[in-house]
Amino acid sequence: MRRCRKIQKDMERYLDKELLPEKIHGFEDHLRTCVRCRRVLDEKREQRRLRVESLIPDEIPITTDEIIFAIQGESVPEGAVPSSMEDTTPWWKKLKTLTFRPVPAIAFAVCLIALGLSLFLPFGSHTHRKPGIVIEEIESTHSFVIYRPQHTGTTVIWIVPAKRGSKEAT
Amino acid sequence: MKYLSRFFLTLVFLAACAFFPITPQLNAAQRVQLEWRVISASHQRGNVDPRLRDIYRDLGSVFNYSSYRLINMNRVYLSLNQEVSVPLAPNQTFIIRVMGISRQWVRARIQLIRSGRSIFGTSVQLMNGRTLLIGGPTDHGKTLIFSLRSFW
Repeated sequence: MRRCRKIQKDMERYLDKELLPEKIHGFEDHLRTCVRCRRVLDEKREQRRLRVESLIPDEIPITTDEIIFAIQGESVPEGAVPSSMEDTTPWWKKLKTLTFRPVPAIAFAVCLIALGLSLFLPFGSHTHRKPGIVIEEIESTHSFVIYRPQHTGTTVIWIVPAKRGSKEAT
Repeated sequence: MKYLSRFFLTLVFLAACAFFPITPQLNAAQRVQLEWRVISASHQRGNVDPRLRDIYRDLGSVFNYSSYRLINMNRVYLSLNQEVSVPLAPNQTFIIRVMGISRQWVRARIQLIRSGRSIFGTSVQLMNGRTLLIGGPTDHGKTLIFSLRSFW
């Protein structure tokens, strides 16, 4: 899989005949064995062919690059791709040519769901079923009342004031 | 087999990333924000302080006072074992001390000191956003209600 990605990265260079000679052998070896890469290369070739056909009308005998090379006093190198033919496809269109890989896609989806759940569910907490407030202990010299209204998440502790002259409750 | 092992490796890696402490609760686990209010409640005809709008529903459903006035309010960040002193009335003070912080709970010790003597003390666990109301102490004939809420 990784090899395919590397090969597909080198395809433009291969088609431009700019791929390093030491890499060509391995590249072509891989193409011989990998149907998918061969198909991608064929697609790229076809895309180029179509682009060239649409960009160079029949009545214009020479390309812009030929003019530039002529001005510079050089001949067009064999296999040189005119600058107008450079890959200008927007990245979102290139996405369509990417192959769908189900394994990482499913793994990614599962993890996205896990992430979502971890943000909203109290995993790892053993106290999430308890009410919002837990009174562990109370020490008071006065009487007190604890009230927990069912409809609110509030807990009320009411300290009953001691009456004047009476002994404080414990 | 190769794909399966790769799938599980990817799954484990992404799951580890997902459960990494990125939630604000976990990041703020060493510190908690406590909001306290001191409210004066009375049966005299009056209105409700607009700053109590968010807890008025709770107050109104629990107490039968007709007027609520906010006397004091503050939000403080407290670390473990840190405490804050909240003056209630001239000789009454609430002391709040953070005893423990977990992912969803804060454990706090609340003490009411009157004239240098502890007359009431409680240890509570507060869940994020829940309100604890402690009422009863009086000041010049008006009942004081202390409200405590924690935030992460």
